[in-house]
Amino acid sequence: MAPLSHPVDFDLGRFHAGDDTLFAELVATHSPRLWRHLHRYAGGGVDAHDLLQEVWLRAFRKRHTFEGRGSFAGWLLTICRTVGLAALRRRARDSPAIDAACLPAPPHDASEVVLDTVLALPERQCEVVLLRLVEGLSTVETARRMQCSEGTVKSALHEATRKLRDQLKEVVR
Amino acid sequence: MSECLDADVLVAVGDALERRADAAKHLQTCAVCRSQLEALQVTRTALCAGVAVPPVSLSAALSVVREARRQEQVIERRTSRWRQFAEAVAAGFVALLATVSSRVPLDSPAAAVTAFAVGALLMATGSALAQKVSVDSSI
Repeated sequence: MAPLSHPVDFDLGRFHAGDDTLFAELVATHSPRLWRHLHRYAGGGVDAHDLLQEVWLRAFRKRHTFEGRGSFAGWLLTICRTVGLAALRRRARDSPAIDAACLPAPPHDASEVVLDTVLALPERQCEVVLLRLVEGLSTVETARRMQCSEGTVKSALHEATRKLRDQLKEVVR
Repeated sequence: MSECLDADVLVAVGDALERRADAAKHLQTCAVCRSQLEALQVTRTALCAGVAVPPVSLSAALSVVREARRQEQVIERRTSRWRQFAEAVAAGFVALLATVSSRVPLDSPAAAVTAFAVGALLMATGSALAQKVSVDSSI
């Protein structure tokens, strides 16, 4: 699987300005990955179609919080998870048959386990994994983006890889 | 013109190949590195793979963003108008204060109102011009 290098000419200024063309490109490029994860949270009258709109609306409203240092894909996946969990909580509140203590819904495929595991890593390690593996940046580019040294990137990736190996044993098998 | 690689590039390529060969050899014998590599491959696959989104959902998501942007612009324009109004009122008071403090005789309330209005008008015009310049330069 090839990493997702920046699919559009990502201009932070245009992003913060809410540029129509840029957002159209971002929606087209990133939605397929979000869609895959959003199905996990769908149900109870809310489908992935609604959740996708909610994710992009939130991304638009919160766009100033993305400072361009980390991975855009990671930032978006975090919003996706927040929106999804909020949908689950709403569903639990609205239908007493669902036990709120059971939330969030257990992941039901490998990609969801992986996403949860990656997003649960310490922030720096999570960013390194997303930038190196998902966005396909080199060590040098990752260090520049994160404004840290190459050594820091390497050691964060090393630590993250060790944790991923330990936590994804079941998935890898 | 020769398309052959120069010596520096050849050395770099050779080094890379050698490192890769070493890595491949090491992977055959090291279970830890093999499992780490597998974990990284699984992670990349899980995070990068996507599925086709129905076009109707994509256009709905984009419409929501465009509507949010339109609303934001309406609020910005409204806020900007109020700000201009407040600035003009403040400038009017400053003009009136300046007139009084410079001992220019204000014989009647009409003179005071005129001083206020001149200050407010100057401020409103300046603010409108500044906004126009800023909009023009952003286009």
